[in-house]
Amino acid sequence: MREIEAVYSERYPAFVRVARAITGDPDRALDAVQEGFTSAIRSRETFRAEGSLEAWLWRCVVNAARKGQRTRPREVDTADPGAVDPTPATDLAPLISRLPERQRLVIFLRYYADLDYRAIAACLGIQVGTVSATLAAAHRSIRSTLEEVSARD
Amino acid sequence: MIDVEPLILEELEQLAPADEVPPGDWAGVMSRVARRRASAPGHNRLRVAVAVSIAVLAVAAPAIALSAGLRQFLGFERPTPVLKQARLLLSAPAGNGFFAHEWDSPSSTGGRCFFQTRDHDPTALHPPRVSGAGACSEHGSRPLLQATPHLPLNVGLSVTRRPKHGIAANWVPPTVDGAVLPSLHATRVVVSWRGGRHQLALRNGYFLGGTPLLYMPPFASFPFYVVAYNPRGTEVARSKLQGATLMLLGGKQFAREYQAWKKTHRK
Repeated sequence: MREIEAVYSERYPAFVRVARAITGDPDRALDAVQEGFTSAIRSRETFRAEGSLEAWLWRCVVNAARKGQRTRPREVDTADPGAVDPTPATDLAPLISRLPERQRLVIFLRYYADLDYRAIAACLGIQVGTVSATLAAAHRSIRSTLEEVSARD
Repeated sequence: MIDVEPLILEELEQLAPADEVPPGDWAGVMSRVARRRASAPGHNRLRVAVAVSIAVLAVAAPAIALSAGLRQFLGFERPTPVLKQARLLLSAPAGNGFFAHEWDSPSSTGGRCFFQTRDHDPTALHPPRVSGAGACSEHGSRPLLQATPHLPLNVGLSVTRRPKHGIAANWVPPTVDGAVLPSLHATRVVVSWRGGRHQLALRNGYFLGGTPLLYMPPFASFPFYVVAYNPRGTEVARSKLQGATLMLLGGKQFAREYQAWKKTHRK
């Protein structure tokens, strides 16, 4: 229990930032972090110490945030692709938001949470190689769009 | 070729700046856990003292053997303490004639445990059974009860509801336990409140103690803190005790009643 609390205290800002990136809403992000840890404590007997406790906690928080996201979809995800985008074309936010969910999650966990590939894999329940490939695909997609914009200008 | 990594980092920083994150609320997490437990099937009779402070759960009557449900409630469902290998960390008076003892032991699944026992013996040599709150890990040799640079004062609070119709002499007053970061060189740890304080036993960085004064104290006594001092008497760490737990109330109910009290009693 105290180990869970220690991770909570130490990494709270990172949890909130990732949850906020997933839910797109600051209040829902705070709720997702609280809910994720509540769920972790209640099911802590299921944690197997072969993996990292922190990665398991990330999994709980990400799941809580995704659940919150499904309950109330993010506005940015439901935007009409044909609608006029008020943000500049080179703004990365819409590019990131339009990435497939797994790519977005990998980006958030890599850059907000500063998790290594192994921890991201444990968190999302995928292979380490898949993390690497997903991150590369996300980079490729963003780079390609930016280069298109750059060439157009 | 554009290097997108710095751009992503910059964009993410703008999307959710680190300095906009409010402080965490661990007590809020524990409150959710307690509420879920209280509403879970089979736990309806375990409503006593489910408000949880910082780390340690409240406990039921100390002299009874733990039922399976209670074991689960206390977090001992799977790994349990190996009592024969338990090591006494420290003992302290808990009030009402009781002494509390804090133990560290291996867990039955290869991890570690810490737990409390309460009895009338000031010099416990071996834990006969677990009779207080505690926690176990399934694996790993790291002691569970420890302070870290991020948690320099790791505090737990155990409150047993005083029986209305039971034998008053069997009631163990609230106990406070925990660990203080060794590098702080604390030589004294106290629970302090408006108009009073209670010194806790301190040994090798672990502290423990109890007093009936912590049981459902009047609002005029709040707030309660655990404070550590170095040999020069300088405060080196402080942690607030959760009022909701002390008053055996839900967090929102405590906040509501405390605010109402403050409006009428303080400027």
